[in-house]
Amino acid sequence: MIQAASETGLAGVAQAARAERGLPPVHLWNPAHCGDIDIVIRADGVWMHEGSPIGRAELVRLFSTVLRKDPDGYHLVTPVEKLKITVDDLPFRAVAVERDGDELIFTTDVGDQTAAGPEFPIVVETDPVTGEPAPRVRVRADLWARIARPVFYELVERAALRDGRLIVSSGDADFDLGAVEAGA
Amino acid sequence: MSLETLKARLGARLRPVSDWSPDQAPLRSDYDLNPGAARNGAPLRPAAVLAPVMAHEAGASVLLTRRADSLASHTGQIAFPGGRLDPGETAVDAALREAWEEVALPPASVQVLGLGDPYETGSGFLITPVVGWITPPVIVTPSPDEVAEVFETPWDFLMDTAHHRRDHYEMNGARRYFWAMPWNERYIWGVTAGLLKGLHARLYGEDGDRAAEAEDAA
Repeated sequence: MIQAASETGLAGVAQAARAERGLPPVHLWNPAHCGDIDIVIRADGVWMHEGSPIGRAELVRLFSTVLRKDPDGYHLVTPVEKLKITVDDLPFRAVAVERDGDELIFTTDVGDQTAAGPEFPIVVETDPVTGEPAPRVRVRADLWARIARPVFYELVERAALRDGRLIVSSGDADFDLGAVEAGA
Repeated sequence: MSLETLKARLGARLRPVSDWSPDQAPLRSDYDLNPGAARNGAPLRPAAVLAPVMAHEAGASVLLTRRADSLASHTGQIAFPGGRLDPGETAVDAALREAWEEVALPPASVQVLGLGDPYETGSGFLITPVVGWITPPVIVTPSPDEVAEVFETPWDFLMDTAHHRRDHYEMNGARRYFWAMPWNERYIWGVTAGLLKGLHARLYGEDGDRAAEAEDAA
């Protein structure tokens, strides 16, 4: 009997996350029980539980490792249950970027690092509602980080101009940050 | 332009090296062209660049690099040698160290004439431009990890406001403006062009003191 899989609710989530070194294999877990939990990841990256911010960074970090995006939304997943949460924008924010050789390494607000490349693209898309372009980068699976404004500016500072467009390269892939218009 | 006139002007108009302090406030900024843009509020990270003025008999030029992280195409990103300050370093220390690391410019070959205005980037750096006077011949070698290419652009071209352009891109629904000084097939822009614009303003006046430019060119 594996006791680690027995708890439910937030205690179970914490237990499932702690049971693994590195990232838990959430893609392999298909728990029978599903429910909702009052957790909201706000657009500014603050995790709210029952209306109050979760102040402990290590707890947020722990929960983020069992986050999964399914067709019906974001969930915290354990071997025994799947708890739906609310994500206002994207689950993570890219708060720093560094170059390591030919790769751009992004760091997220929960401490993940991701090297941009064909599998982990940088995407600048236009929000269908507001019409505003918004940059993001894939962190793992179908979980993305919104690229914070200063980080985007740092990308632009690293960009090359090709055919009137700002291009950054990372991991043998080129990413288009947008067009440059000539002024006077 | 005579080298003597230029050197005298740099010496007279730049800030003395003793003006530098780690907690200086920016005097120029990426935000100068984007006054409405929001800052993220984090403390600025101190950095320095070396603006190397090469005193060729035929006319001064500015040494620039194309960073290795840009594409193979010749339009890649162009920068001065430079980077973050290490703990305990001054802006001059860091500029000379980075120039040595990036293009093997011997610090002893650089006569530091002074500082330009501290410059705030949108990415959260506070860059102190250090202006160095270098009398050729000097051999530079790009560090392959950091620099794809080293080249020189004529001083007179860079300091002519006819070549200063205000380009822009779109970000979060707003136009983000920056300076650009396209030279031949090379697109000098963004922070590097902003630093050059700041040097121009300090040497010749904010709107371009045409009389001073003409005097130097005579």
